[in-house]
Formats: sequence, structure tokens, C-alpha cells
Amino acid sequence: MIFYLLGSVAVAFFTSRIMNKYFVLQDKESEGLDRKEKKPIKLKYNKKRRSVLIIGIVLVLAGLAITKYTGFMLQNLNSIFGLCGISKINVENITSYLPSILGCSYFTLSIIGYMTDVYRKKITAQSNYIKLYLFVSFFPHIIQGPIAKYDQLAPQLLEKHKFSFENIKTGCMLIIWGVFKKLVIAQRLAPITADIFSNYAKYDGVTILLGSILFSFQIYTDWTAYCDIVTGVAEMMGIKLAKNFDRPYFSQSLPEFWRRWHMSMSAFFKDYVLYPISASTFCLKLNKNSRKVFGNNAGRIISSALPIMAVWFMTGLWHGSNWNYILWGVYQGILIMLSVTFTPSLHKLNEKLNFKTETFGWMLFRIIRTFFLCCVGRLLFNGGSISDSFKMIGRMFRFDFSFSSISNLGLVSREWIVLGVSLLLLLAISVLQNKYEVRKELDKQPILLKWPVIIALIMSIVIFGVYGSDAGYTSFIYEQF
Amino acid sequence: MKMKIWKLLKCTVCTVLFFSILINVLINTSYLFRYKEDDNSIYMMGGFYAEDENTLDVALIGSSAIYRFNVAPVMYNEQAITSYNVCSAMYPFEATVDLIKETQKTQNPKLYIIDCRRWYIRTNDIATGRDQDEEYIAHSESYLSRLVNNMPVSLERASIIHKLVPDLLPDQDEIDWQFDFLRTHNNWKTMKLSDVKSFVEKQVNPEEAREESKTEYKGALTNSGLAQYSEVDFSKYETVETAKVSKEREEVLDEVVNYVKENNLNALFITTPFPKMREDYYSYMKYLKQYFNNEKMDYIDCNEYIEDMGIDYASDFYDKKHVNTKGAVKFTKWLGNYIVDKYKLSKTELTTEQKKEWNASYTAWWSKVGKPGIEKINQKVVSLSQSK
Repeated sequence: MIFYLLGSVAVAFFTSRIMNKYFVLQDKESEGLDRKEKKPIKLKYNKKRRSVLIIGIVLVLAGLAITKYTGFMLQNLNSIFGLCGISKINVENITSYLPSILGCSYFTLSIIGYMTDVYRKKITAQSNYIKLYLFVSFFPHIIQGPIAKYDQLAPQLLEKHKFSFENIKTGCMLIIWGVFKKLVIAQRLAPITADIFSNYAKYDGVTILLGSILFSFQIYTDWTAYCDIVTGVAEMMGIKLAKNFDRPYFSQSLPEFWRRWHMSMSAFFKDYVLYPISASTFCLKLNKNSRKVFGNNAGRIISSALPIMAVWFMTGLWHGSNWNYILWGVYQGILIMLSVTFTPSLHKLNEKLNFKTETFGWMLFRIIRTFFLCCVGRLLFNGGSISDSFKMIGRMFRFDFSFSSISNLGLVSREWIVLGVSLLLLLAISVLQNKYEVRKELDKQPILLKWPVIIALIMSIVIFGVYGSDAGYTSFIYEQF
Repeated sequence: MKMKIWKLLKCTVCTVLFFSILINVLINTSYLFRYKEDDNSIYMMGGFYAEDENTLDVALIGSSAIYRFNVAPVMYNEQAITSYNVCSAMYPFEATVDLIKETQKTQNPKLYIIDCRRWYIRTNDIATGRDQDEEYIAHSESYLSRLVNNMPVSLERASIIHKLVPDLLPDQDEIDWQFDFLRTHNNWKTMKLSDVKSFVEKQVNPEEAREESKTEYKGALTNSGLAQYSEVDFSKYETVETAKVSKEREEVLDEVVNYVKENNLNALFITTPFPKMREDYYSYMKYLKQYFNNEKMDYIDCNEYIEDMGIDYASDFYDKKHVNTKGAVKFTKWLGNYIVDKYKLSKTELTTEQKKEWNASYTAWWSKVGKPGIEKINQKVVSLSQSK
């Protein structure tokens, strides 16, 4: 891993240094010239910088593609070869030589973001390789994000920090809360959801729906637990990592959900994929032509389809070499497209019907609807294959139910109670987070109230946590991506 | 500057205080979660910790080779010696020093009687490779668990775990044993409400809880079964060669002997009798005799005193390794006399209440266990001789 990381950072370092050099040369050559004379120089160096950036991105992505997608590509090639009657490649033989790089999907995006920001002159290229390496490899975020932006994280890493007891305290609180979510909720849900998804044929529709709902909570608590722990660790050192989640299950629409879920990745794809594709010559032409042919509204929708679908295809692919992930990405893209298409018409319809959309009931309906759409997406994401996913969804929509299948899920009644109480606590904290910074509010309280709360939380982890030799698989879900 | 120092001091005090409370809560709560699968060990170890401070003349440390033999109320009634079996089933000899230290925390016994049976059986098991059997390892886990589950968290307990887990249970992590919760936290799923209730009561009123934990028979745990054996042929004892013991196993003995010597403690090492004596065990007993003789430590192989004790192989054992109630009374009386004759102990001054407690203990044990137990054994002997 270390050599891969050293190499990737070296690519970023040299490409950014070259791009920086081009900026300097452009400035030198443009000195004393008027705007018109500067333009060809600017275009010349823009072209050079773009070439360097493309080389940099291709090199970094090639590393990612080789380590992460070789098996997937070869398997698909084998399928084509099978159809053509060509002898197949021994995939396992080849992939066994490939290293598995922990966190490569995360730091590759950070590196691409850094190079692109240098290209856009948003930041100056780092002249010290070690400092750039520090930014990429900062240990709390390297395995599972949040995907860091250079201009946000690097200055914090490079400035001096004083010991702060406040930071230690609040950092610790966040870590404890993260550990609670991971060990008490996520780890308890893991065997249930794994069983439902891998043996869906023996479960009824309601249990599969329950499985997808529980998996939604599992993945949320698992991932936010990781983020809380690493954010807490960084906070103890005086470093603020980017926020990755903002209570996403309170979202009233899917676009809103994606603004609040894995925020650092959403921001990355928005900044470095969606906007560049939207602003590309091809898309601008498509926009112009489709508006001409189909009218303003339809034209806008048609031209926005390409960048949106590209983003979601890439998001799916980013998760790994599996058609299920790609299908899941396409599913999200289609839903977002539908949302973009129909939201204005629905607004108009609501206005005409004088429908009150500011009520709690309507808001709750929208939240549940968004959550349900996410749950369906989880089934696409988690199926053993695409056909398994569709079969699962088909079974779920039968909505048949028998008590015996729920009672066979492997939790004793006391565990269901603990799970229920823990989820209620999570809900309460999430509601409070809307108005307060819960940790700071807790810290303001007198010791007689504050300490029992913290000790009770620690004791809950110790007693109700799923850990130890019989805990099974304990890694974080998103570590595999 | 003053403000800075004040803030730093406040932070330090708060941190220390917070962690002290947290550790205290963690340790105390861990007792609630411990496995309670063996009542005998809870009965003896728990009862020992409940005894009034500095009231014991003799502490007997060992396995069932002690607690099935010594009846503390009988020894008190006969010789006015207050004794207690600080024992657990299959107690590992390697824990002896730590158990002496644990005893010293609340008691100041004038004599320690240390059972060597588990030393030579374990030494033999290692020599024959039996210690590698899966079943043997599973047993070791269960017995180690019985010992440490009934000890409070302490450096001594940590030391026992540190010594024994890697040795007895090579596939297990020591950390799982050092931090109880790692092994026991799942017990909340099956815990009874009454356990929680009594735990809370103990926390609220620890002194009352200690009084309640005192065992009625001062840890005496005899058995009224009967297994008849023929006379043991001790002639082999003379001819068998002295066992060759590895350096590691000798060091186990050295550790105890050195501790006893360094701390000027009175110690009597013993091996209690049993009727199904194997030849290889004879060789170890010969070794022990020689070893303690070289170390100038008191050691008795009780097999040599069977006649003095008046033990009858046909009526005084309930299995091949342990005496029954009848045999235990004989053994205790003999041991009490031996201690009085040899050590001339200055007996602990007990308060009137404490004396009452010990007398009541004897009366209760004799009327509820001793007398009916011996009668039952005698009846069995008679019916067996008639059936023959």
C-alpha cells in the first residue's frame, strides 16, 4: 500500500508542479501585454495544463483500475469470449497477483481533486512532497474518507496546534458516540441483514422490506460511526475534517438525500464530474439544440440527463467492480432525473389544487417516500447478482408476512428491545442536532449530569455492544470500497 | 499564568476523577456479569472474602484435595483453631503465591497449609502430553474460570491470569480474561432480574452484603457418598524411582517456597490421601518429599498417616480421590492435632460475637451435615456388607 500511495502522491506532486510552472511561464509571457494579446498565451498554456492534468488523472485512475477493476473487466471479457466461443482467461490467476489497496478509492479522489484544483488555479501547487503526502495519507481519513479537499484540510495540517483540553473532551465524546453506533446498532444488525439478503428465498415480503430498512440503519450507523470516530480523533489533534453526513434520513427528496449522504463524495462528483460535463462543449451544444427542438423545459431536462447519469454511473462504479453497484447508481440517476423532471409540474399542480405542502403530515410522507426509495436501492446494492436483486424486490412487493420468519432472525427479545431503544436514542439525537450542537450542549451541563450521561453511554457500549471473539465480522462496511 | 496553572490543575483533577469513577463502575459492574456456573467455588471463595478481618488462624490453599478433607467447624470445635479453605475445584498450584497474597489482604493466618496434589498431577499431565488433549484444555478453562470468577479484580488475579492463560489455554487471548467484559458481556441476554436486584443491594449496602455472604459452615463442603476400596499397597512406594521433574515445574515450587521464606510465613505443604494411588504419582510424592526436605520446609504425605487418622478405605471415601464426610471428620481431627502439636499456634482473639458465630457454625454443620451424613454412610456400609 505504501508504495502505491507514494507513487500516487508523486504523480500528483509532479503534475501539479508542472501545471504551476505553466502558470508562472504564462504570467511571465503575458507581462506588459494587453487583454487581446494575452488570450493566445492563455489558451496555449491552458492546453498544456489540461494535457498534464489528463496525464495525471489517467495515471492515478489507471492504478485504481488495475487494482480494483481488473477482475471485473476480465470477467466481463470472459462473458463476451464465451458468447464468441473464444477460450476464457483465468481471472483468479491474474487477480491473485494484484494487491488490494486499503482506501485507494478514497485517496484517489482526494488526489484527483487536488490536481484539478491546481489546474483551476483554486490552490497553489504544494512544493513539498512530504507535506502533500501528509495531506493524502492523514491517517484518520485515509481508509474510509471523508474525501478531503486540499484547501480545507492541508492548511490545518500544516499550521501549529496547541494542546486543547476542550478538543480532547469533545473529540472523545464523538468517538464514544461513534463506537456506540457501531457496536450496539450496526454490529447487532449485521448478521440479520446478511442472513436476509443471502437467503431471501426463505423470507416473506415484509421481512425483506424489514431487512432493507434495517440495512439502511446498519449502513448509516456503521458509516457515521466511522466518520464520528475519525472526526473525533482528528478533532483531538485540533483538525476539523469535512462533514460527511447531515441526518440524511430526514431528507424529503432524493436530490436532498444525496446532498446530505456521503457529502464529501457528492461534493467531489458535483465539482469534478457534474459541472465539467455540464460545461463541456458537447453538453452546451446539446442543451442549445434540444431547447430548439423540444422547447425550453424539455431541452433543459434532456441536456441535464447526460451529466447526471454520468455522475451516477461513476458513483456506482466507484463502489466496486460489481454490476449491482452500477445498477444501483443508474437507479439513483433515473430517480433524480425523474425528480428534476416532475418537481416543477408537481409544484404547479399543488398550487392549483391549493394543496398544503407545509404541513407535518406532508413532510413526513415525503421523508418516508424518500426513505422507501433508498430501501429499494439497498436491495439493488446488496443482491448477490442483478437477478437476485430483482427477485428480492419482487418478493418484497408481495407484502406477505408470517411471524415465524421474523422470530427466526437470530435476535432474542431483549436484543430487539436494546435495538429499539438505541434507534430511538439515535432519532432523538438527530432531532436535537437540528437545533443544537449536542456535544457542546452536553459539555455545558454540570458534572453531576454530564458525567453520568457519558458513563452510561460507555457502559451501554461495554454491556450491549457486539464485540469479542463471538462477534463475527467487525470491519466497517465502506472499508471494502 | 495563575489562570493557566489553575485550568491545567482543574483539567488534570477532572480527568483523574472521571476515569477513577469509570473504572470503578466498570469493575463493579463486571461482577454482575461473571459466569456463576459453579456454586462450590462461589461458596468457598465468596465465603472467605466475607469472613471478619484477621479472624483466621489457618488458611488452607488448594483444590478439592483440601476442601473435601478439612471441615473448619470441626477443627474449631476440637482445637479452637479458626481455619478456612481458600480453595477452588482443580485449583492450579501456580496460583499459590497470588492466593497467599490475596489471603493476606484481609487475614493474618499463623499457618498456611498448601496442597500439592494439583502440582504433581499437572506435572505428570505435562510429562505425558495429556495437557494437550482438547478435553483437558476445556476442563482447564472451566476450572480456571471458577477460580478467577470468584476473585475480585486485583493485581493478584491479573497475575494468575497472566501466568495461567498462556500456559493452560494456548488458543485463548489473555486480554479476554483480564477484562471480564470481553468474555461475559453477553450474559445480559440471560440475566435474571433477581441477580440485578441483589447486585444493586450489594452496592447500596456492602457491609450487610458481606455478612450475608458468610457461609453457614465456614466453607466446609463434604460429601456423604460412599465408594469402597481395598487397602492400598504402599510397598511400591519404596521401590519406585523418584520422578525427574523439569526445571519449569521445579520453578513453580520454588516460587512458593521463596515467597514463604522471604515473608517468614509458616507453611505446611501436604498431599492428602487417596486410595487409587498410581505408581507415577508415588514417584512425584517421593520427589516432593526430597524437594521440601532440601528446602527445609515442612511437608507431609498424608498417605503415610492413614493409620493415625483412623481412615478406613472401605468406609471413608466417596470417590477414588476424596474422603467423604466421615473421612473428612477423621482427617480434620488428625490435622488439627498435628497443627497444635507441631506449631503451637497462638490463637486469634475472637470477640464474643465471633465465637458465637463459630460455635453456631459447628452446631449447624454437625446437626445438619455431619451427623446425618455419617449415619447415611454407615447405613450404606452396612447394606453393602449385607448384600455381599
